[in-house]
Amino acid sequence: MDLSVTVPMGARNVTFRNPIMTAAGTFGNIIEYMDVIDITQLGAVVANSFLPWQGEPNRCRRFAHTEHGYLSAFGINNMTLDRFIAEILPHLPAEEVPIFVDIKAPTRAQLVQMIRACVASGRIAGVEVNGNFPYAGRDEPSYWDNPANNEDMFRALSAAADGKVVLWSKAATSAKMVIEDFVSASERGGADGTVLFNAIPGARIDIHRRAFVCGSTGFGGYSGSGVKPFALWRCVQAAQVATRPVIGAGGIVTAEDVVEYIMAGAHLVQIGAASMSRPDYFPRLIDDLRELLERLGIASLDEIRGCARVETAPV
Amino acid sequence: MRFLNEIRISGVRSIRQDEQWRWLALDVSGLPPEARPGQTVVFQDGHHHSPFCRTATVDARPDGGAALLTRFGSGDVLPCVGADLTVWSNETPAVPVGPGALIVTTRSFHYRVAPYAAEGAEILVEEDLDQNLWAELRQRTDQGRAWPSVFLALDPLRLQGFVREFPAADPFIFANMDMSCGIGACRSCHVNLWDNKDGEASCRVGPWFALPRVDLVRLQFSSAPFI
Repeated sequence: MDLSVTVPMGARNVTFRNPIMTAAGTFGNIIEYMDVIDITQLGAVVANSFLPWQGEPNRCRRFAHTEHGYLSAFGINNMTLDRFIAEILPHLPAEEVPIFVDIKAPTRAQLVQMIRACVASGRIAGVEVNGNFPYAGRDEPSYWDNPANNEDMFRALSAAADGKVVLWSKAATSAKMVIEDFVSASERGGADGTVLFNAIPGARIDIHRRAFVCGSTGFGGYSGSGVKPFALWRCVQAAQVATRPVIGAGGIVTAEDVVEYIMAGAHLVQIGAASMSRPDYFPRLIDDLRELLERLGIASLDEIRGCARVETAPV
Repeated sequence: MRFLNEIRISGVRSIRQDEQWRWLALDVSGLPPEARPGQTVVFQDGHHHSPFCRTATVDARPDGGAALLTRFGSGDVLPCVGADLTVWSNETPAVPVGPGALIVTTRSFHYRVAPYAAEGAEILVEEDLDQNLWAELRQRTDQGRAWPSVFLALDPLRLQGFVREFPAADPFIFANMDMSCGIGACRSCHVNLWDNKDGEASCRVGPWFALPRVDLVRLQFSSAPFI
């Protein structure tokens, strides 16, 4: 069974061992998992989000279970990208599994600088530029609101990437742009693909303590299987207009979920919440996916990408 | 990874309950020998569609078996005998707790640290004392007890009171945090520290931290409502 996925990236193709990726915000700085699972078995791995400045653990309750998933408010909690490149990246098996980083910044100039640092590292395969920033709707940069600004921004980022690292846009669920405009604008600017999507805003209240249970503003990001129908719909919307790969994410738990996303048009998938259900989640999922595809008689994921059809009675 | 094991519930005992929570002891078989009494572990009850992991303390049963001491919401489906659990721990405690240690706690938190008695620790419960807790601690330190052999499993507000009472003391404290991945990656249980801006994961190097290192106000707001 061949699970590999070949994805056009600019003028070249990139082949992933399988479509399974980790998701930013749930896989730490990758290195934490290296004594737990063989990370080279994954299609690619994504580290936690990086900002231009050093973060620290958020000063509120950062995690709470809720219906069919969880709320998280991890905030700006990671080291800088420069520190990651200097201290962590040399220990990661970048030759055996593509290493992606997720970056956020308030200005285009800062994002450009971060992408240049990734290129200069020579060990980072790709960058996803995350629209889920700043948090809690504060001072949202205009490049996430407006297709023209978004396109301009990706033009600058693409020039910085210079074909040496894969460049993906990652849509914020709260983005003011319609998703089709976001995908098209990013692609026109030079993005090699679009990741859809982020956690959706959510809240929970402890009725005994009369207090919100998570987040410094009373809400956090909701992730988990509860968001899958909405996220899958977003994936379909994106895939209908995309000319470059869509990386589906949102509520994936099982191998069946992965196949649904591929049938919706995704090339790759990212999994976050479910991966925290147990440390060896990813190798089990990859085994399950292989078995499922064999059961369904699917020889290659190319066979089924975007194959889902609408069934309705003729007029 | 210290261990990752499939275990089976052989008994379910109620420790106590209130309107919101039920505290249970889950008798289990299959726990590896590395899981020592008092150790914090994370477990998953096989609920397929939720990253719903719980934190528990390993306990030693009188019959030589092991139990997981944990808490469920009053509305949660409780585990039953015969059910399988996945349990893991990446905890490599920076601070061992054993003979000579004095653990100071309150009745409501006692269940999380009581198993350390099997490792030789003395456990002091505030409600069982004849005098004020701070007076008791002052008396013991006056008699030669060194602060680094004292382990405080108290809520963050009480810990702040402790610091006001004993500003120069350097005991260890129990950082009771929400845990999720259980291997130090997800940042759920990172403790805010004065000497490490990255924080450190309670599930990985905790649960005991030297008190002078910890930002107690942030601990108060980032930890779960205690116990």
